[in-house]
Amino acid sequence: MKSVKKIMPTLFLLMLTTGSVQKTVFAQVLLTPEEMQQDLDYVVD
Amino acid sequence: MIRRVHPDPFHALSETEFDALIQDLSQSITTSRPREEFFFILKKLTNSLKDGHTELYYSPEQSYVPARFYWAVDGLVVIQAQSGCGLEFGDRVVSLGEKDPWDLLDRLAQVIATENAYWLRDRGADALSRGSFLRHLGLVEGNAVRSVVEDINGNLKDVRVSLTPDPPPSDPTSSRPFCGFSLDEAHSLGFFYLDQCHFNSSYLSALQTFFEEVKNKRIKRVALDIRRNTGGSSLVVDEFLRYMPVRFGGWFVHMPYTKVRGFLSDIRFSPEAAAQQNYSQTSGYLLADLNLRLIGANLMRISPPLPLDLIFHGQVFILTSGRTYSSANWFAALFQDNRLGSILGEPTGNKPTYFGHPLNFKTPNSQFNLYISHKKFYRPDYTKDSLNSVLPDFYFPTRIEDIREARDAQMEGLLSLLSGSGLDTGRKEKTR
Repeated sequence: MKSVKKIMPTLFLLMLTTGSVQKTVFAQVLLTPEEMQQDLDYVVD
Repeated sequence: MIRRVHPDPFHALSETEFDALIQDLSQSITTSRPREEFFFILKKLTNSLKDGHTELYYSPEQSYVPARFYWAVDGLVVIQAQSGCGLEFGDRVVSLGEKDPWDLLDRLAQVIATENAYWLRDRGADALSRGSFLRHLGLVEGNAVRSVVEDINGNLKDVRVSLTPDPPPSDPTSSRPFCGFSLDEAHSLGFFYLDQCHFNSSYLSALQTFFEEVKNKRIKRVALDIRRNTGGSSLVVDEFLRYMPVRFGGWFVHMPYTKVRGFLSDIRFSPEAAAQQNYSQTSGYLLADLNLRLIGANLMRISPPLPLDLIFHGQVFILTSGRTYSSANWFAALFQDNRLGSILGEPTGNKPTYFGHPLNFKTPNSQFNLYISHKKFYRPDYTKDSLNSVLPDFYFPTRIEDIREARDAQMEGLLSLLSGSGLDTGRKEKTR
């Protein structure tokens, strides 16, 4: 059990590097109203 | 950036209308939203400019329909499909998510930067393979799109097509070199295709070899196929013009140095344009002298090829489609306005008098790629400024039946013209 816990962070990082997980994480990114307003201002001005 | 960079941000909407739109958009982002939803909100802003080169791109796409579509003049058709996905080559799409494809086109016009219906159809067909656009249009149920199609035999099929993380199969012809040529001695026709406007040694050498072969085989007609060309460097046009004889505004003067009526352009300067284009000026405008067009003095000088006998004196045809865009559209407009050749096929994908040469940016939080035009180009013939496309002299559209039977409608049209039987076969344009 201890050894599994030890490699958990590595496994997690490995998962993040795989395409499908990356895509899922990216798709679910939520933008806050402030972030969106900042982007809107950037595009306009 | 739009206010700082674009040559005329208020040409489609007035400044008051533009400000009202921004106000509306601000009010729609008062709660947190997924990145994909925000993309379509921002797109309303960039699309309000009605400028195909001022555009926002969503990447990476997360899901796709495993099929590719083509928007023919008489409807939407499947041109490639992953085996077992429910769709098959040649299926005519009757409905997607219970919506008629033509009605979807009207809604796609709100989220695709476009200046005419031909580019909208081309880009719209591509968008209908993309999960983000399908979700935005409300066509996805669960993780699938319900589609009713009519197969090649006329049978109706009601299928649910699941979205997948992998892009649809790629166009098999996309792997061919970006330019190449062949000769059809029976029709005395030299055929040169250019899929991208890359100005490089491969193009220069292919073009020279082509015209050498044309001369050696005494070929009388040349067809340039730019139907799949969405642009790049306009220098490719200048290079092609070197092989053309002098025909200026209808005059018939054969001289070793060609002068043709060229495009003019306005430039909007800004710190961003200076940084990306190495301008020394960081504000103001450089406005084209449009009077030059009125008196036909918008001339560009083109050096001839060496040896001089490579100059081609026969008939030239330019094959176009709704995908002929930007510098490729420039190609068609320049040949048409200088009467250097006949345009054959379908109307092109953007206005010949248009905004272009976009600068590129990235939105700080959502990380969307943002492109904004910083020039306005004017086609050589000012009397055609209001047209939203280069209109073909000989109209040969692609129909669903052509796709199903693997017929090249434009090449068939050209060959029928050359054999003298096709002058009456130019088909009337569908009105919608």
